[in-house]
Amino acid sequence: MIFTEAGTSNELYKIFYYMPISMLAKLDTDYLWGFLDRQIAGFIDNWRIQKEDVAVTLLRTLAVKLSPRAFLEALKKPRSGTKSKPRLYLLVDKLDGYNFTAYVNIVWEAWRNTNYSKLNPAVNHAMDVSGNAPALLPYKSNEMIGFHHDNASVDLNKSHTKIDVEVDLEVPGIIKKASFSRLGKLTITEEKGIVRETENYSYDPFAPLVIINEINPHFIFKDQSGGAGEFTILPAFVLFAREEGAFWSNSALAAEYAVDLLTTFTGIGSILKAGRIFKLLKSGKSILFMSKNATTATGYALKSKGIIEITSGVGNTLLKLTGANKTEAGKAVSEYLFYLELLSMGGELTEAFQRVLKNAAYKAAKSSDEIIEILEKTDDAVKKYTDDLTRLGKLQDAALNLSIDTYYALIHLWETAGIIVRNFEQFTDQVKLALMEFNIQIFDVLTRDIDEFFNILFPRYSLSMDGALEKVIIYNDEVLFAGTKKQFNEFAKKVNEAAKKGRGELKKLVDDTWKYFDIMPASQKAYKKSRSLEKTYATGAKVDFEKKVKYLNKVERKEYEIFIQRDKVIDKNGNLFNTKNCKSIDKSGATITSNKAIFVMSETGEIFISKLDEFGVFHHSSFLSGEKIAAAGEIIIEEGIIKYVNNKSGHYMPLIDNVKDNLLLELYQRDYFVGGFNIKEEIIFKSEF
Amino acid sequence: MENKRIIDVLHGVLFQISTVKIQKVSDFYEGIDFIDVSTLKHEVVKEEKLVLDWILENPNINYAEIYEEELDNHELIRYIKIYLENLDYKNKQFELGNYILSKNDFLI
Repeated sequence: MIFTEAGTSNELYKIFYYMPISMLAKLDTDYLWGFLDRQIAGFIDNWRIQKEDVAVTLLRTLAVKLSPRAFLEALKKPRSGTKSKPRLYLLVDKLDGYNFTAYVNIVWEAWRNTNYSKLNPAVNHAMDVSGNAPALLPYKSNEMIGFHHDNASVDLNKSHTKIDVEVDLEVPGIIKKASFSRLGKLTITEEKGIVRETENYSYDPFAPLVIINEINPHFIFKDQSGGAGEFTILPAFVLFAREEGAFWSNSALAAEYAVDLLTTFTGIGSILKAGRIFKLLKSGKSILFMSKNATTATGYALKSKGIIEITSGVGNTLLKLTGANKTEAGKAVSEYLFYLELLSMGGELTEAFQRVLKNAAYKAAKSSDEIIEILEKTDDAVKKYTDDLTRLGKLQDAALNLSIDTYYALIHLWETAGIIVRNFEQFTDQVKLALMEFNIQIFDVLTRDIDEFFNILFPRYSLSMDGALEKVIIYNDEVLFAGTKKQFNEFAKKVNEAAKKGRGELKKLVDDTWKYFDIMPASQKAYKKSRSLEKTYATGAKVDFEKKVKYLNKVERKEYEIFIQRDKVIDKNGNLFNTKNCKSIDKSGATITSNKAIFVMSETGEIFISKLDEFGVFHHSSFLSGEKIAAAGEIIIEEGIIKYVNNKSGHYMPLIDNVKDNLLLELYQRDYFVGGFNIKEEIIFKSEF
Repeated sequence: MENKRIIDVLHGVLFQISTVKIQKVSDFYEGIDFIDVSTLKHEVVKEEKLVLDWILENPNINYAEIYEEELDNHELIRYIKIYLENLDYKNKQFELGNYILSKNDFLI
């Protein structure tokens, strides 16, 4: 499914959204960064797919795949091929809410495992011993909830990766006081006291900071592994990250507090807390932005209305779904939502707002029994889809006995499950999580067996016209069998049949392979066949013909080799490959012009393409001097993008599965997205040579 | 007819062709931009015509045996008839000076 349907970026997002990290980690590192780079180049929308979640998943994958140091260094770089701000800061701009928090924690976790976190300038070069970036930063917060600084402002100097911090300090010093005597004489007295000073520091984003907060040690970004110490060591980057979020503290954190009140009582919070609050925060952010630009009150109210329409969806859909919108509890929740929305319009939490919000929360909380009932009704709604889940479960059992069909069924199932999750946003997060876990379980099955799966179902067999014998190598190059093409085709049919029945059958078949072939050296039958062909050659025609065919040597064939770069096919000079105006000269001398070129792939995965083939002069066999191939056929490429592939090669006569498995696997391993082109079987009556 | 001549001609005639797809002359022009017949080798065309005509006159011979490949005689004869029709068409267009042939020529 993935490999044959046309790929769009939305499909890719869909795949990445539900793909577990263990699978994603199999993709090439540059490809993952490239995907992320494309994402953070613009606005990350969450239409249809939570694309911010995808960005975070990619980050988690990269954090797992790379060493912590390599991961952090890559984050400090701009988007590949550009002079953009470092990825580190672009991600701060693009991610919001829980994704933002997750992002900071991923970076923090990686940071903790590098020398960057060591408070030792000998091993940590990010530390500045000149005093321009002290590790001990006096930092204050009077917030009851959250990590908010009152005495410092943080800025990002866009010309470099450093973070600039301006801190107001209250330090012991000498206070000078001037006084005049009655005669008008100026007297200056000095006394010890507290003076305010402003310091400007410049930090490497990963320089370690020691934060002390005597008033409130319970930071949102408290280092979980740091225990309950009196100070927290964190990367300077977190300061900047929090600066971005500091604006929220006035209205949002107070609102979050109110929501907490409600959710603690009712357990309904997963929707409200994760969904509503962060969307609310986004609204607030937009409003702030607009007010900065002196937008008129009417203007931003209208704009906010748009945002509210989006945010009102989740909670109210739940209420309607359960019919609770008519109950007292439902009304209370509605009222609460209404005030939250009103709050998001105003952008400020005034005293009046606090009061109505708390009242509404209290009212809702008072009806907690009813709200629990609502939740139960939600569960009923969920049960409506349990049939689907049961079906999925059965398929999962089937996965234990993998076959090709089951594999595709699983892919389909994976997509279906994804659709269910996507279409029912009103489900609780627990339900969503259960569905996600279910998907992950399916993929675990696939991942666990994936090597064996490929080894058994898609052996990298190869065919060669070595004399009269076709050789077939099966099962990881370990067992060598030889036989005629007919024998091989018969065996391939059996493989397909067995694959449908299950893995057990397939294994049995592989074990019995020898029954279908003449084990080397050639049996009497194969020998007879070879003698017969030799006789035919000896009569002249084919021998003469073959002598004319150009066989390329290793240097010559390099001219025809193609490569994959950034998801595109390029030639040896780095130009995007095109197969326009390919020429094929037939035996009668007529020249056929088309957009199809001939290609072969060697056993070691090199791919060669020629835009010219000529009867008796240049054929598929020319590239590798008639040696073994892993795939061969015709190909259409437009501006570096593969549009079509077939198995049309009279010389090798590869099976279409041969092309699918070997070529696609090779392209996939080279990070080419193999979902965007058609693969067609061509049955050739008689071979070329 | 010598086997060598039959093998040689059949090889050229079946070169990279999915015969099942050829049901009429215009099918030879399917999926391509055009065919340039200005470089047609008349001695090859002549030999092909001679051998193929002979095959049509002798449909009962098992050509799979001669050609050493799995050939269906019935399918081969069917295909050869259309191939010869196309050969005549190409020759005729060559004589008329119409060297570039394409699918569009068969649309009317």
